[in-house]
Amino acid sequence: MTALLSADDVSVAYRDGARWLQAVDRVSFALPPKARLAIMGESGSGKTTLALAIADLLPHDGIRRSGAVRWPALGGAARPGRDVGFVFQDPMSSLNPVLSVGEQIAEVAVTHLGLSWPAALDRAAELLDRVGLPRPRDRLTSFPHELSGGQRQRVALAMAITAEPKLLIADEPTSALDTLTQAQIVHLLDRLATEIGLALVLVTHDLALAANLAGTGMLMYAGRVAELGPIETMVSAPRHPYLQALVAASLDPDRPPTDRLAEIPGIPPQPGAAIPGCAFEPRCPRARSACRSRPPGWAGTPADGVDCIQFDQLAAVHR
Amino acid sequence: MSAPLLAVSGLVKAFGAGSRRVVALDGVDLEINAGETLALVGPSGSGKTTLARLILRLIEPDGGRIVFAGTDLLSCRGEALRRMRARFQMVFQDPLSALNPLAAVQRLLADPLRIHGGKTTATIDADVASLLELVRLSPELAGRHPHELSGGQRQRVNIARALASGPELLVLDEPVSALDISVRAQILNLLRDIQRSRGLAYLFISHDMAVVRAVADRVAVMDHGRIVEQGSVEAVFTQPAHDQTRALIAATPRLRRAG
Repeated sequence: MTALLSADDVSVAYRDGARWLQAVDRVSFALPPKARLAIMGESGSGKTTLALAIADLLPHDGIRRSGAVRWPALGGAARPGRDVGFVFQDPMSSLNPVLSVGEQIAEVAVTHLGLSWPAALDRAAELLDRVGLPRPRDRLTSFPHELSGGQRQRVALAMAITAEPKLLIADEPTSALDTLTQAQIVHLLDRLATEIGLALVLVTHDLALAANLAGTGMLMYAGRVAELGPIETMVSAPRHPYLQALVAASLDPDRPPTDRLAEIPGIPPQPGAAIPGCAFEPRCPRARSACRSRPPGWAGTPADGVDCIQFDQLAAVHR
Repeated sequence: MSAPLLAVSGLVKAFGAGSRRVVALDGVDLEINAGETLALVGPSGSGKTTLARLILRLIEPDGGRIVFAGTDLLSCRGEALRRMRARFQMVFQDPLSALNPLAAVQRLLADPLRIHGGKTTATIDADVASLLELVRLSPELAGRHPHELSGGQRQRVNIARALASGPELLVLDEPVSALDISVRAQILNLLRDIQRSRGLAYLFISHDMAVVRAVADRVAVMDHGRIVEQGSVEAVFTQPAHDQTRALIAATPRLRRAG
């Protein structure tokens, strides 16, 4: 199948005074139409930068980027603001506080769909209905501050799908919401993606959320892809020591408590730190001397593999 | 059975007036025993944080009683209240916004040690060092500022600050929800170790039922300003009695799908 999106060796660095901080380091993957990818990782792993690079939303100043993001199913390029919708963690900061909800959505419909203003307002009401806001007509004149956090995220979702994108990127879309609202928004994302035939990129630190919503998982650490593959396999049989540690540290409301929770010692490397070997090595229970001296090689296929020297060597033995 | 460390009864608090009046707490009864962890759970707006602020006497209730270690907290004034405050402290969700960005860790810990802990300049460096050790932070971090610390290190500083006055109760308001998973277990284990070594009680506020199951001895579920269910963690999770409890447990994402 022709990929909707293909990323080849995408790298992004931010300028910090005289030096460059590598946020994303040679990331490659392909996303078929209607597929769902979860980009997972902790703060500073590069997951949001990668998402912004895919959506072409990175600023131009102070950024050094290389590699290519291509859109084969769209004839090569994505139309700016149109083919990719974006939902952020904090809907309050992504919505304009001085415009009504209806105006904000209608503006997108006028710009990208060429609708007249009255038709655009009708479309806005349809979209608000679609994302499950009660009395959508009345809501057109509401301002963001008059809505609850969950309602704002619904509005942000409505706005993100107004231009009929092919891909929706959701960056921690439920992290600012409570458990009940989170479940509603996850359900809504799932339903919308299925109904509209959207591809989904979910950026999250929450493995359980990723496992519930995505088909493919990509775990990032220090700007690199640590593991990539079918998400069910990743959470049931993690290969990378980092993913194994994350799965062991995950908490489950069905599981009686143990005396001590499984910890991952240490903290991620500082941005810009020179790392000759594997970035996870200082925290890795299975680290060996070779892990410090040279970067791990990718073991596996472009769609399913691990960035770890142990698998690299196993693969080498079998070759 | 000894008297509880904290006993809250009939607590009522409303905000606003007239048609805008919102009843945030509608008659709350709650007890916390010394050395135990009571998790307070519920959706946004259910009254969890209002209850915490009342217990800490950051705001005044419209009615009800709060008794801490046998003392009627609501009748405490002035110096008596100040002395009581040293016995219950709070740790907030966002470790960065809770710390003065201009102060180094040394001062962030020395100030509460002086103000509430009764420590003097002569021993303050040693006292700061032992607080850092308690929360397993390297002594060399004393010279750093909050922005130079990781999220997990910042939350350790907040916990150390809260412990400086030698409290018997810590109110932990979503203490790990802003932290990465790889750091979360470190902080939860640290809290458990400190609880055991110092006999501390925790009021652990959270909407994350997976975390609650892992840390709580007892659970109180809030909805619309009332406590709708209360019981041992085992009972609440295996035989939830109230719809709100069942909804919260069901809404929690699982790593592996059932079956």
